Amino acid sequence: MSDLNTVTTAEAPGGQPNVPRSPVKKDKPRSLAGDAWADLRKRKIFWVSVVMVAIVLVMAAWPTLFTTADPGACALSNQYKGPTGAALFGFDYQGCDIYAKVIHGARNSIVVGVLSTALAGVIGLFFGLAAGYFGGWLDAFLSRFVDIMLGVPFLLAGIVLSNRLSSDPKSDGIFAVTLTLGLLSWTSGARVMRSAVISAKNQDYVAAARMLGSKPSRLIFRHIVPNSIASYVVLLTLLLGINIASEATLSFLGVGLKNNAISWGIMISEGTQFARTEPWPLVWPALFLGVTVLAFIMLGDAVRDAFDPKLR
Amino acid sequence: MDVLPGIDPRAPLLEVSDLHVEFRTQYGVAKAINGANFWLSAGETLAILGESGCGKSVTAQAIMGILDTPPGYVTQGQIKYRGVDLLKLSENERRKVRANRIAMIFQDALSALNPVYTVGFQLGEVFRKHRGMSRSAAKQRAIELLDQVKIPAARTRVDDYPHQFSGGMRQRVMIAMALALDPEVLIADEPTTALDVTVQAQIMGLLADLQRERNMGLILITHDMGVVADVADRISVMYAGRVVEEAPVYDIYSRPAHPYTRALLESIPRLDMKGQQLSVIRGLPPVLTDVPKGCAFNPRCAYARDACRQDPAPPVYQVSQQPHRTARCHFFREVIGE
Amino acid sequence: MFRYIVRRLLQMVLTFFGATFMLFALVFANQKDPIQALVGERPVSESQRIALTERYHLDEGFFMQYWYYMKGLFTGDFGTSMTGRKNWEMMADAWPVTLRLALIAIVIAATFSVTMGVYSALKRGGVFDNVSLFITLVLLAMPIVVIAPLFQLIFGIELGWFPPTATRDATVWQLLLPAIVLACIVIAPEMRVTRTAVVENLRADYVRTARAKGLTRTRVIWVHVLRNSLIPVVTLIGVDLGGLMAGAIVTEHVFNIPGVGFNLARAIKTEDGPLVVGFVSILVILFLFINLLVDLLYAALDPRIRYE
Repeated sequence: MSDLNTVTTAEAPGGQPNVPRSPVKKDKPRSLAGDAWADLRKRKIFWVSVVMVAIVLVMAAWPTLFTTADPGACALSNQYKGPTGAALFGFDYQGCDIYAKVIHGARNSIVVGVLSTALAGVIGLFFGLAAGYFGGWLDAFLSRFVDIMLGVPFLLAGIVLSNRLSSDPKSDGIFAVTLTLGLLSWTSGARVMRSAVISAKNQDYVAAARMLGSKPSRLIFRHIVPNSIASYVVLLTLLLGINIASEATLSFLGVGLKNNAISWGIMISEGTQFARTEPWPLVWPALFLGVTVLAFIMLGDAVRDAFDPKLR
Repeated sequence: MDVLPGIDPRAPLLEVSDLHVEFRTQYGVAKAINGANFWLSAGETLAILGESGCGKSVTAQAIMGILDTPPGYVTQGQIKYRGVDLLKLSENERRKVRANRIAMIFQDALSALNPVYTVGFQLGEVFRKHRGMSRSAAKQRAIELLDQVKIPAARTRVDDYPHQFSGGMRQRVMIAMALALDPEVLIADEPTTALDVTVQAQIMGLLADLQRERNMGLILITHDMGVVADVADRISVMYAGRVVEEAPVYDIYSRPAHPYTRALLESIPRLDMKGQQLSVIRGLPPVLTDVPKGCAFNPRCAYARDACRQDPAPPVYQVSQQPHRTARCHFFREVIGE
Repeated sequence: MFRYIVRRLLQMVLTFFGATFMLFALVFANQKDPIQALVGERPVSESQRIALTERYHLDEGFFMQYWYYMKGLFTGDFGTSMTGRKNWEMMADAWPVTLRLALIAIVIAATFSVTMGVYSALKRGGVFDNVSLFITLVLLAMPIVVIAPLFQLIFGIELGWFPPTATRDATVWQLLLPAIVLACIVIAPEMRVTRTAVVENLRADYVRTARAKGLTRTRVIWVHVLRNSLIPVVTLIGVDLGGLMAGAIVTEHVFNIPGVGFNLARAIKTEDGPLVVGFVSILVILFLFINLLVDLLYAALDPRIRYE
């Protein structure tokens, strides 16, 4: 997709003395994944993000472990009441238990995030493989199509599409938002997969497999996919974080989850309106959303660093 | 030009004594130079010869004062220019010595020139920053310099970028840049290694001409014994951070006094030895974090005895007075005698 | 170079039509009752129905509607909003505000990310470097829906350093806090790229040459190293542009700034289809042009790149 012709800079032959690049140890040879894992295990940031992600996932699966209060039980008489017993974070404008709502909000975030990322992952994988493997006009067509999709800023398209998909006034919008994010966020994955396939296609072992008469499907799933899947999964981890943030943004703008669905985005939106009188209904959901997204991005970042030998 | 305090025009042009440099890395301290000694007079060419990693480039960088610190540190020794110890100067005084009095050209001119500035800008920069010239005057001087190093159509090429020049032309640009302020010492670090053989000869010829015209002292750093034989007056052979032998070029070729020099000479392919097996030096150069005890060459040396395997390393032996020759080998008489 | 620009412009035309068509289809195609959809919740009289049908060519096919819309766009008619105002009038009000906001944000982002990135690279491994690496990671991950309201709360309402909302004229002073919020989206990635690029370039051979020339450290870094390091930073601006636009929508919404994002969000909420399509068409054109500009700037910064 690039039209650049760069004159590559010649590698300078070593002017440095013989300094060993790594500790001289007699290790048995390890695979890339093994190396990456050994590298990951030593990183604090990896373990911190794993713990954070785990907590959010548990919160999404079993919210009742954290709170027994019903997030839907709101009483105006409780409006802006401070923290009491089980309601650790106090009450909001409508007298709802903020703690209970924030905990229960994790589920929708994760559900929308995971499902939309899975959808994007499948579409991106399929299109990326097809474009990279078959090349030719199919590649040209798909690449142009991706260019067009990227021509519209993501959130703009998201607002319009999500608004359109959730035409039913009674729906909670979960399906519409999931579909919207899935349909719009596959492009970067497709690009990564496409270039991974193109570079894998030119590897000697793939050429050898082809000469031995392997069928295209076997070639793709036995040889090309396993070699490109690691970076793709890392990309999806990052995308998961981004999609969770996007869901909150759409909900915040009023075109995401709606009606009685609990979403951190809606809570932030409501909190913002009355932040002058009472900041906490804004602060808590914002913190939970921020930390959740941060956890996924940190996880993806750490894994990518470990898998990218160039950065080591 | 700024006057350096304490400069003595009668003192030797450049004198390096007992220089130690180490690299402090996360995997340990690498002793890149462990006591290098040599001197250089005006109009003379000294070749520093050695395998890659023996510390010859580091020596050059230490003289220039452009070691990457960290990890590189000069821990001991003196580098005297006309009697002034450069290591004792402030960074600002040191900076003014560069280009004005001691200049350097590098091995790979493509990466040594900044890719995003024109050749004229990079040449002119020297005049603008050291001589306070205007942009246009500096450009005029840049054109003259390109002319002097025999780059055709200098007036138009001055606005080209480094990648638009051929390898040989780029190295000429490097030479022009180094000679801009008429330095008295020029250090050439493997100036022809990245070039084709025919171009190599042209560049070496150009360097020799310019040196003669200006009566410069030239330090030629190389691993190529063929290049050395043609142009050098004296040779310092380095191994594992030490100068192991130092002698006029003729003497070293005819009667080497150190086993390492001897082995190097024997590994040059020669026409009169056609059909015979080429001798190679056994083993590998030492890793600098783990230099062998005693003489660093002992594991690869045919002459090695117990004395060679124990500290301290062999001292600098005077091989002969006239001509002045030294070697760091306990058994230099045996080596030279054969 | 010329051929490259022509080819890029042709691609842009294709992308523009593709993108606006998709958008047009999303907003207008397959509506059960297009007139009711146009008007929103309000009841419609029969005469209004006839007028609207005629104005939006609702009795003709979808492709014809798109054709009429494009024809209008190229003859300077951006359509009419459901509020009855001409779209271009609303845009003329909104665009200067957003451009001012974006400009302040970019200036803040560029100044911060470049100076901090260079400083971080020079002191790599130090306290400043580690702290800033962590802060950029947090900024990188924080969605704008978190940053915008929290900054408004902390710096606008609680501390009172900045005005928490903007008025109709949207002065520079009022736009400062939202611009900082917007800059946060760009600062983190750009600072990281600056840092990496400077670290890499500090090791480059030409740096050694520059030092051997007796240049001061300041000049070596700010003239030789920085110029090379800016190349990847500039490309990133093109990549970040989409994020910046998304950020503008949320930020303008939060800070009540009467710009493009604010109007667009309102148009979507009130289901003002013509206004949405009008705004977005211009955004798409702008987006494509800035991307082209960034590519050309890239070539200007790196003489080794030739476009063919």
